Amino acid sequence: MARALLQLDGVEKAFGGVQALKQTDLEVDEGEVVGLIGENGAGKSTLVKLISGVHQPDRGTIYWLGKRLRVMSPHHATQAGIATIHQELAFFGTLSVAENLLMAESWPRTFWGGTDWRALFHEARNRLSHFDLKIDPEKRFDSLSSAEKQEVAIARALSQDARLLILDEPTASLSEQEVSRLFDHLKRLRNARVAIIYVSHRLDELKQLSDRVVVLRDGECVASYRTQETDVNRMVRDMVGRPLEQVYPRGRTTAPGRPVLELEAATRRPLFHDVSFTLRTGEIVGLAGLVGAGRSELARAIFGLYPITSGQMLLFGKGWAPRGADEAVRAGLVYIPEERKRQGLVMDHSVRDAISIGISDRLTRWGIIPPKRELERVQAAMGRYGIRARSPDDPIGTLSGGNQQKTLIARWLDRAPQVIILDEPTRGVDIGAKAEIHRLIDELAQQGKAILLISSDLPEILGMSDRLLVMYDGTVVSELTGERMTQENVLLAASGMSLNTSSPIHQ
Amino acid sequence: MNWHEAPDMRNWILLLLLLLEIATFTFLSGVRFDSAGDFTAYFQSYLGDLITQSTPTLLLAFGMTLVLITAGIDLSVGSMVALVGCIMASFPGNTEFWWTAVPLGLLTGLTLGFLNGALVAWLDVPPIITTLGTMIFYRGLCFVVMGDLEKAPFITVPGYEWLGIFSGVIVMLGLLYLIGGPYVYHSRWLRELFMMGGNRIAARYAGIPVQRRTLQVYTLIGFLGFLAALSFTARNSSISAGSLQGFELQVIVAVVLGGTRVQGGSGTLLGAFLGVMLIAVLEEGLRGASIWGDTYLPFEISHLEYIFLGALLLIGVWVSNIAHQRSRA
Repeated sequence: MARALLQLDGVEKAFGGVQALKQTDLEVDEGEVVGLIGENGAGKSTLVKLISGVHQPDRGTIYWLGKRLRVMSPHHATQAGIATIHQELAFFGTLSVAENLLMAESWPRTFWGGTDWRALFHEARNRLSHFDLKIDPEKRFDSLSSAEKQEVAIARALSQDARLLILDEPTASLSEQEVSRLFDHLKRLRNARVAIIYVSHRLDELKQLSDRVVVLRDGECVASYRTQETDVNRMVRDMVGRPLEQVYPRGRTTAPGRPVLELEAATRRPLFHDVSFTLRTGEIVGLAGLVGAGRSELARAIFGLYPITSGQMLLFGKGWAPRGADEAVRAGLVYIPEERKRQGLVMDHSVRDAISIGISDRLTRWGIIPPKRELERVQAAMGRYGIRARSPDDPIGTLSGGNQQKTLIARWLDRAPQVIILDEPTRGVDIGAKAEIHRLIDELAQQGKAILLISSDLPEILGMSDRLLVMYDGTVVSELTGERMTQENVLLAASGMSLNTSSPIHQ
Repeated sequence: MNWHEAPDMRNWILLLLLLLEIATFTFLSGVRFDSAGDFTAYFQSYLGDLITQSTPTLLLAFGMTLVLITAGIDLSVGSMVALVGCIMASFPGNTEFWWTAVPLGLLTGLTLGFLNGALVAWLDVPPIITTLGTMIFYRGLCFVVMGDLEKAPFITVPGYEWLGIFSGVIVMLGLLYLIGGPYVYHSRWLRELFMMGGNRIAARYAGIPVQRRTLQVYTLIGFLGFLAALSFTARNSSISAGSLQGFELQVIVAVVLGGTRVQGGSGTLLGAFLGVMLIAVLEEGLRGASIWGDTYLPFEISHLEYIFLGALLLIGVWVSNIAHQRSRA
């Protein structure tokens, strides 16, 4: 076996009181592709950041080519030969491909001291053709497709004789064809003895590409095996590793009633396509899937923020083609958005404003919101939903995340909607508020509301939902009920694997 | 900033500044108060002049406040008022004027405002650029309508002068600020404008018809522009294609001075009113003070007007930013 290119020995890292990475060992050989997997918060990004010099380990040693290496900065790591491509590409969209590609290097000059553009483009063209890329270096970076951008990123990362390439979720925004092109590049690099650490949620990709898979869980390296000797089910088991700890409320006893929201092949490319399902009164349907699978995009279309382009939707048995969110709200369908700061609230307006905007049409007499009635309603809502603020006139921004979320929920629930779509309702919320929100959702279902719950928190979505729809790549690939509602099945379906055969789903 | 409460403090400060300013300029302009009668008479005519003169600014400050609250802006108000005036001025000044020119003026105002709104709402071009474009465009239309002439049919229209004297404008302003102001202040409509300005995306998610509201605000400005054109032409009795240049700046300075944030989401109508008055007193005062000042200073005091105006605007913006940061801390 080749000698280890990179070796991590008992590396640890804590942020504040949180131990992000404990006693982690990792070895990467020359020309080896190592897949790094784990749930959100398992420590994958921390590990990547330690190797690429963004953070320094608290304890433990990193060996590079057998020698002890102290990576003090990303620049230092690059010089040593470690290239990292982060999920968010750091590029200048309005500059040319060549400028972006050669950003960190010294540019050829003309006699007069200006940039020698011809030489610069020439150099860039050489560099690109070295990686078999047919991209015009004079093009604006903006005008490239996601895949081409990725390729430029790789070419840039490798232009400084990198021996290790780290990719963090590189395929999140790529189409299937683009992914296979990326894989061709990566395989070529592997043949050139470049080692690759590949972080991904998509297990099918790792199966195709990697030589070895390392599983992180709760900041520890829990498993490491050769890819041929394992299967996706085992990877998922190792990733999840623990039983459901939390107890979820289930006070509701009612059976699902009549259908209220029906989708038939609802499509709006490229966001989502051919989505069909039925939501009934008194049930909680979970919508699971990876970020970018199209869950929120679908929810927004149902809420009327943009129309679907084909297929149809029915609300209470009648055709549903809202032209705006106001129409949805009046019809009794509400959406509580995932990003409360951006999509939900005005941080420097008061709690009173934030709540009463949801019921303002009902409060209004002759166009005016009577201040006393408004205050009564707002205070009642604050009591009912346990919103802790000193006064209704406190700016939203001074409240905790949990109270902000409850404010957003109170805005819509005070008008007693029949269909409620909750998008990541407990993200960034403390445990106490989380439990309150869960109890509230359960109560709503008990009252006969139809609830569509979008969440990336697996225990939550499994614990709360009566049945689960799993989205992958813009469409619902699987419906899970009863005993089939397990973390393993959700993860499999969400990463594009069919449940029993562990092979990629072909549509 | 909590828009229900915080600006109150600021309005008191503005009021205090205004009174201070009036006192200073009264002193500087050399008015003598030999008897209580003189004193009252002086102030009656002083305040009357002040109000009638600033009527167009006061009218549009109302609309500008609302549009700034939505994080928009309207730079075209000067050209808009001028264009409405020019179109009305091309009619002969007789009784017929009331049934031809005035309704057409109203229609023009509404159309111009609506056009601004439509461009902002549908084309998704930043309001500052859209209205900069229409500001130039509307001004161009003024020249097409009027050429290089200066027309004054208004003097001969029976009853028209009433729109330019104190009793006339006070009805207009009273209806707007004393009835319309409190109504708008408590209205759901304004609440929605505030949310649009505070966070446009969140406003859409909250079910606010953002495009419709945008259209309404800009159209309202068109209507106010029509009223302003009435009072302007009635007082000045003539109009030309170049009238009212720089008017938009005056309105914006006043509104910002009154505590409305250009970034949107915060502002008061009372503040806008006080802001306009503060500037009007300054202009009027500088004109009056020149009698006194020119004997002591090497330049005319009234030439300081723009320097004061610019400084006031900067101070106004600075103060409201500080207040805003305080409330966030």
